[in-house]
Amino acid sequence: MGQRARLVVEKSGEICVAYIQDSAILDENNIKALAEELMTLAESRNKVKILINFEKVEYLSSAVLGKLIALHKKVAEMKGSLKLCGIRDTILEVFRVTKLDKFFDIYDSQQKAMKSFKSFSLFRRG
Amino acid sequence: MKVTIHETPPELFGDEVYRKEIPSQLERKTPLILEILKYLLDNEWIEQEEEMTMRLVLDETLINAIKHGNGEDEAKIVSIFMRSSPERWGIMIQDEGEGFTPEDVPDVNDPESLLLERGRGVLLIHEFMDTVWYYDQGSSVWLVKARPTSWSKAQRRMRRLWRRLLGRC
Repeated sequence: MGQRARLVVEKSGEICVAYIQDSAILDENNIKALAEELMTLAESRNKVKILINFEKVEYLSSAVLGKLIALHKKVAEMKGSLKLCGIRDTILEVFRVTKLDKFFDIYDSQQKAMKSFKSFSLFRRG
Repeated sequence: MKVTIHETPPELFGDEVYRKEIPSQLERKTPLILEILKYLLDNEWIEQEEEMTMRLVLDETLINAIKHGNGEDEAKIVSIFMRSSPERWGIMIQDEGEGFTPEDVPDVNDPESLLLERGRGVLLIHEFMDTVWYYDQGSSVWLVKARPTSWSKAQRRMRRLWRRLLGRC
């Protein structure tokens, strides 16, 4: 049986918006497959800008947090930026408890996150 | 947060309402979790919005038992039972492994550990359950949680409202 993609990636200008397709990211194989797809995206170019949309995600395990940290390190190596959006309250609680809500750049909505990329670019140019 | 492994078993309460044994295969984990969650929700031992955190607690605990405890050795069993009283419920998860050393569990509250890629499962279990009692060198864990009351439901609603007012965090 072929592996289906865990991510749908849409490009909006320089920004890659990665929509997670699974509602539950709990099983080891799911987590590994998702992490590999995200890592490939992070390595795709220098100064990569990734926005991960969690709207479909209802459940995740702590292993996913570890993978997101590894992804953040990779994106930083590529001198890019990583933002997260659409995280429901119950999952945000997991980020809060582990203090990762302050580490990651998290936005309520995709629109706000997209705006923040743009304002950051303007700031850098100025 | 410091993890303690007790030398004595916990004091059990109430009546046994559920018991199951599974071989140490990771593919047995999700069906078991869904069965337990259905039981917890059907009996109103947890609120609907606690389903995510409870699923996470069960997932972390069962991965610890199947993978780290029993090393996915199918000949080794993971035993689960639940007990309940009118005020609270508890779940015991036991494996046949050697247990663990508390010092090996990173302290996520330590800023230097914040960016470690592993070790958050135990913290989350402690956060979302009222009692976490490890014993048998850590190969058994007894988790207890109070049943929801109208007061705890109201508090949860207030917290949610408060967070929304404060913004994203």
